[in-house]
Amino acid sequence: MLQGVAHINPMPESITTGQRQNDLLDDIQQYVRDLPGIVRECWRGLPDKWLFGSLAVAWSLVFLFFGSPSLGYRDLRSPSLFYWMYYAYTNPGSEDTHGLLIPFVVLGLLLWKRSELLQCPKAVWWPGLMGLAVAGGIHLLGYMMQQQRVSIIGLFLGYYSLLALVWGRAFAARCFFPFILFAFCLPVGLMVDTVTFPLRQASTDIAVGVARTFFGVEVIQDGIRILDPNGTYRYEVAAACSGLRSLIAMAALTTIYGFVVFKTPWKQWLFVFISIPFALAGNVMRLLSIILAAESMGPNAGHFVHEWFGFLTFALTLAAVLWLGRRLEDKEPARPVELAEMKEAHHAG
Amino acid sequence: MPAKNIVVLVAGLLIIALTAGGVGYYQENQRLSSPGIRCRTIHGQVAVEVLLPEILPGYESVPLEVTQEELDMLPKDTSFGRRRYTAPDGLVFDLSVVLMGGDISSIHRPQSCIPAQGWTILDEDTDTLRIDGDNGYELPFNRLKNAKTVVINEQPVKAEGYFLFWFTADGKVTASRESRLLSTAWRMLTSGEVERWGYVSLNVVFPAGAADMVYPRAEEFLKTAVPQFQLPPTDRPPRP
Repeated sequence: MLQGVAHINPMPESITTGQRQNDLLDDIQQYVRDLPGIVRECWRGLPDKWLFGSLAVAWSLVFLFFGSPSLGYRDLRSPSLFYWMYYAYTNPGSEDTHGLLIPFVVLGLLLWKRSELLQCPKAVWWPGLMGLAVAGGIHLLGYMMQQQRVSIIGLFLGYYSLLALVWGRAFAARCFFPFILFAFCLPVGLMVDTVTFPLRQASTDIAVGVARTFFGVEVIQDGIRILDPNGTYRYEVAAACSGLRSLIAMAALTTIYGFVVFKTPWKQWLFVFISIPFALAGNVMRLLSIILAAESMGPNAGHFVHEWFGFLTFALTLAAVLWLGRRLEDKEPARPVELAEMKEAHHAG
Repeated sequence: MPAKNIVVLVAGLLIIALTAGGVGYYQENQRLSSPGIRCRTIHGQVAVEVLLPEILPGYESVPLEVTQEELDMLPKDTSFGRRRYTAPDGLVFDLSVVLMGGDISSIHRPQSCIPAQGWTILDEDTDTLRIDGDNGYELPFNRLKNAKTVVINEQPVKAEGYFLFWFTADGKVTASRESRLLSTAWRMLTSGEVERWGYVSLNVVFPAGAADMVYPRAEEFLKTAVPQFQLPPTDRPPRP
């Protein structure tokens, strides 16, 4: 049976990064092939699943029938929070489409970690009930304020509390990191401009500062507008250029990367938050490229860069994050269980 | 099933039932507070007639239609008040009030609607304005500075605009959405009433570069118009 990444022994020094990447890809392919067997294994190995299932279904029913208080708005005349979330993820122009994928990603990561989860001791943990009560209170507050995002926090906190209640604290602790990804199920939606405005302002400030200081390009800044003193070009950093999509995509990728690759909690947390400066840097790089292209080759060149360099700057930023990840990965300590396995293998040899 | 699991199941279901019960109780017992806007009730309806001043010294005014899209989209208990005021030199001020019923989704963030109308938000901040009178108070409001290219006589012309907005309910005025939401939750928890918020906005459009001249005019307009349609807050600080 394939072992999850958490159980792959540390590679000897002589094995190259390329080989490790191939091994990881092979592992993933094998994992996908073995998925039906993995699911069967988990089903058999997990105790009290009917207890958890019954409580989870009951909890879901609350959010299906008493989930969303906004019954007036045209497209949202449903009491279901799930419907509200689905609408937020799929309405035209949504910046939150990834929300549909997150539950599957979390499930995939939990399956990836199944050996660890199945082996850890399981027992009823009564404080889980308190977590469930807090989750209920959060939902009630969200309902009163008519803020579905608050209720979404209550929804996922409730599922997590049920995990802790039925299978114990150790099990819940091991599930914590995949559950963090549910933060990406919170739709930005109508808040998009409020969220993006500081990003747009910061990107514009830094890009203009760098253009003036390091490249001697004396562009004029008016809020989030960048103007050429000769009037040959003028750009407005619109919401779509805020870097929000890059930030969300980057944050999701780095969180998953941190979870899969690292075992040390501080490195996992570092990779949850590291996306923010990197995504901002990527956006600044993009704006700077536009300014420099327009300055040296004219407005059409600036427009070309605007249209086509988004992917490039995202790829460069991602490469920088992965480079940092590799550097930290090299210093990743082996876990005691792995050291024991290595010793055992050594003695057997 | 072991006895311990039965206890877990019962305890878990009890908390879940309490959550559902709490939400259900809130649904059944919510009452609307009074609005912070002058309005006239319409018999048999939650929606009311918002009374914006028809006569304002120094301005000519006409009512503005609420679009069918807005009427279709927003909750049926939403009330509207909308008028255009034109100064003698042609500067136009569009004043709008959207008053919620029991559903907060009547009130939308202008940061979403303004870009949808082709405007780019250049800057946003907050400001305050002294509203004079016996019940004088400081009016806090949000200020969005916007820009758009419009076509006049087949020539692209850069236009700019100020969009000033705030929220008012029974005895309260705030520019902060967060304060509004927290106040709504607190009022609900303590008195069982839903605060009926009105979203008041003023939109003024002008040629690019005239912002410094127009902004004091917008403030002057608000000083004249606001006491005519907005009730003074009761939790205001004492007059200096």
